[in-house]
Amino acid sequence: MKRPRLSLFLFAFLIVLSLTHLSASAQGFADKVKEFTLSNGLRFFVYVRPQVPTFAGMIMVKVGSVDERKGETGLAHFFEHMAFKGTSVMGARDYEKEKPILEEMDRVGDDLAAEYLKGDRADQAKMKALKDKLNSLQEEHRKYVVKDELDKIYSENGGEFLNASTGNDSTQYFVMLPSNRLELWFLIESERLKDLVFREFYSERDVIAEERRMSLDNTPDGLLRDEFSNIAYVLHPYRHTVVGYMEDIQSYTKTKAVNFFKTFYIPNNMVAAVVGDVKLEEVKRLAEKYFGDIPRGAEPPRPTEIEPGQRGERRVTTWFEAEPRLIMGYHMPGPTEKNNLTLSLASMILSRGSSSRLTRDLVTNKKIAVSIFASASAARYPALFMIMGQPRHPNTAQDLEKAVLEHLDRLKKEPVTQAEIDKSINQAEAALYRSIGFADNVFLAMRLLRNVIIFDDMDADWKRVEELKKITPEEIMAAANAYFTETNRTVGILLRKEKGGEK
Amino acid sequence: MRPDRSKWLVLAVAWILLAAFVFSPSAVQAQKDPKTLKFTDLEFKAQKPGVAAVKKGVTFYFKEDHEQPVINGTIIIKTGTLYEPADRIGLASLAMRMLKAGGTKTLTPDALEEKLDFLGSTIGSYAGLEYSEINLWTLSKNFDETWKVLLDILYNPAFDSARFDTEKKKDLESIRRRFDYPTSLGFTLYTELIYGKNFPEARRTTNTGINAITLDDIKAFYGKNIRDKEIIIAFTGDFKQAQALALLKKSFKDWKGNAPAKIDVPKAALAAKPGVYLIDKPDMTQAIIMMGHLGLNNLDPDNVEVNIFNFILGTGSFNSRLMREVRSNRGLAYSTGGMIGLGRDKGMFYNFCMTKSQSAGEAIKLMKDISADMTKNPVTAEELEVAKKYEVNAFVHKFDSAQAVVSQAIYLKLDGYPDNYLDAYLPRIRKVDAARVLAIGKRAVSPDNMVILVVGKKAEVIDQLKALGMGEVTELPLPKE
Repeated sequence: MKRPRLSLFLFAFLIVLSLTHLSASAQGFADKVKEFTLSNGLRFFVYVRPQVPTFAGMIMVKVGSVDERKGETGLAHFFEHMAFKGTSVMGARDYEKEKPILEEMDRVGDDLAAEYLKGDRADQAKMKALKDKLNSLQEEHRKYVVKDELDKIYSENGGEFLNASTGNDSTQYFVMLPSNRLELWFLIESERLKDLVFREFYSERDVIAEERRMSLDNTPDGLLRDEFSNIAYVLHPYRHTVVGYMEDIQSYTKTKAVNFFKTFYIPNNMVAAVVGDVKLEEVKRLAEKYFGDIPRGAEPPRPTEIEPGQRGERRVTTWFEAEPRLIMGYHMPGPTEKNNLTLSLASMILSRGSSSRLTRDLVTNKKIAVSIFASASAARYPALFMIMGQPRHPNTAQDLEKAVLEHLDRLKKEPVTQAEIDKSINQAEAALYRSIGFADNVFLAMRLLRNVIIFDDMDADWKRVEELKKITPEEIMAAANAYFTETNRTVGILLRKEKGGEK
Repeated sequence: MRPDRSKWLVLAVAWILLAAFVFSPSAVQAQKDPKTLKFTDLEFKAQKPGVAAVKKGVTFYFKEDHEQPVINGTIIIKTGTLYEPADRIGLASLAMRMLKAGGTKTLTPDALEEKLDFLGSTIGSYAGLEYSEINLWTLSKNFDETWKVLLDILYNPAFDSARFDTEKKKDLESIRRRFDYPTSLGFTLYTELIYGKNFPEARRTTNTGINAITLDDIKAFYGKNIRDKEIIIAFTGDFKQAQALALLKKSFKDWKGNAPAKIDVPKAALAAKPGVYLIDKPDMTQAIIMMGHLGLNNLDPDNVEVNIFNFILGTGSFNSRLMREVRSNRGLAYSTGGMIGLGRDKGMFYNFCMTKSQSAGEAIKLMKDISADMTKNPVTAEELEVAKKYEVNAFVHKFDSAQAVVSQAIYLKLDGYPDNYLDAYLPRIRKVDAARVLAIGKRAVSPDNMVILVVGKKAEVIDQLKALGMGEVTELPLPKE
């Protein structure tokens, strides 16, 4: 069954990405992938794979939750939902009649948001009246639209895997189509950039509120993750989750969303990939035809917050009706620094494969945990080295934490063996060839574009594996000593409330 | 407009132009309406993998694909949880996992894991309901060594007792964690309500059952259901079929390929009385709703046509009625859907959504009305057309990768589908009309006999559920395991 569209891809997705790679050749993508850039700055990457007459198209925009300001959290993700609502042609029955209703809705919506933001001084009766007014306008509005026509057109044409995802660092839109529908993809994707109509803006806030309830508030891992990030960062926007705070979701205004769109959805802030049974010349021709007339925009503003150095351990305990969970995080350097790779190698030695240190010792032998996973970040900005685990009863989250700390201490005191490094590099090399199987073209496009967005190099993951080979055991020890310190640590624990937690 | 102009000017011009695009669609001259583009249906014939008999009881499916230097291999064994005795639920899964986790006669568990990790290869083994798999993934340059390990696992498992203890403890912990996610609680209990607690599709591991399983049980299961039994082998990727076939003939020279044991399995019957069931989870702000009854058999005469029904009801994303009404029009849920499922004996017919506690009643009523309408009125011509076009044009995606081609062919065969199933698929889809869809609804959906399960905060949902008038509201305890 098809999944619901517009899903959130949080950190978990990025972890999956880093483990499940597919590849062009031993040297990377460069010999298989052709790149060209339109005069407005939009870069295209074309990978011809003629085995099956299908292709995947993807547009990745360099905008994610990290680009959101306080009070507007979740806007990147909210906008992603808006991008499926059509244009003045797609989804319109009578746009001339629809337009004034949309404008009226915005006036009511602005009033409602303003009242909501008064917090506990908000006039509830006034809010109810405004909501009722919005609902009746929404009913009226429905007469002039063709519901979800974008989805309908893609589906009729054999579109599969139609979706979009928003992460901390980027937003991407993708679909797989039969290869003779290439022009359809160009038309629809360019039109939703040129002529987007923000339909159903206010009812979509309710959908996103449900999405938040489902993915964060009513799941143990979502809840813990949310609370953990809120204290692991004090200033940097990585502290808020992609879906945003409920309070912000309830008070988005059309003005904020339109500004966000105009600022970030510009051709020089996005990259596109076409992967599958297509011809380069045809892609070039259609790219020019459909995207060539979109004007270049001003470089978007970027986060100005630099996360202050942490000077003391931070802890949070949260409660849910579930078995305990543990998250530990250490601030670590960004992707351009050598220690980013050094810590990446350390994470593999710790938890990649059944024979890795944490899995072998804590899951298989001591049975303190049923799962344990370490990961180093490779994101647009410096982020966290994370360790996530689930203790096995009767061991507690604290027991697991203590056992993990012993392993981190061991990394500080004794050099890892060359055999462990060699094994990790073999695994990392093999992982470059990992295929997803289903929807390969989509994941290949995702991998290519992510390399470009994060590292400005489509072959970055290949080159990073080459760089891993230069890292010495002593460098790992030095990095462990520099970063795995108590004052640089944040710990999040989730406990079951009814039992009064663990003793 | 080039970036060498002064920055403020670029900024100003860009904003003006962009604003024009956003707010004055008429200014854009390029084609804007996708309906002006005309495409013919893609002519695509179902792809078939190669098939060869290695020997009696050992069949080889394959598809070469040399784009990447990797090989995927799978060994399918005709055994699974269906073959477990009732007091040893979890035995098949433990036995399959112990094949690898327990090491071999020449490789300790530690050495085996070390070896695979060093090669960058993976081997996994797991049990399904009727069929179990051992999967292999490797760079083609490391295939020979990885294959040797796999054969060693299959022929010479050592069932190490310390590892057996670890695997059992993992299972006991997963029982503790089974209901950590409210959605898995909802799905698991809905399945139990539909089939009954002891039916193969619904039964689940218990502490008592796992604790009762001994290493001797594992060895006996291996001897009875795995060793020398009929198997299917699948390879995709960077290999040559002639060489692979020669290798397999050698590898399985002494493998007997005996037919699996015959077992009797009960027929499915709706276990719970239709009505509303509630599990109180006081910490939840959202209610999980699952509703429906039994579905159809894999080989039902409508097993292709039902996809059109399902697309319109709940699998067609925003083109489906559930998504359009529950989510898009009313904002009641992010996630919603539904389908008449096919299954070994019978699948499940289900509709689901997750909605805020305050709207649980409204959502249930709406979802019931949507189902009921599909048993009373023909779908619209437009709905039918979208669904059929989707099936026709998306058919090619069923063959998107070598693995998809091979595993689809194997499981269709195993489940008893006729050999021409995929060839007949589109001709059958093209013939579906609104009367056929309605007939499926009338036959397979019974809106007044639905089991409705709600997982949520009782204090906030109970009055809404009572007001539905859909039968008594039965409160179920939160199961311990």
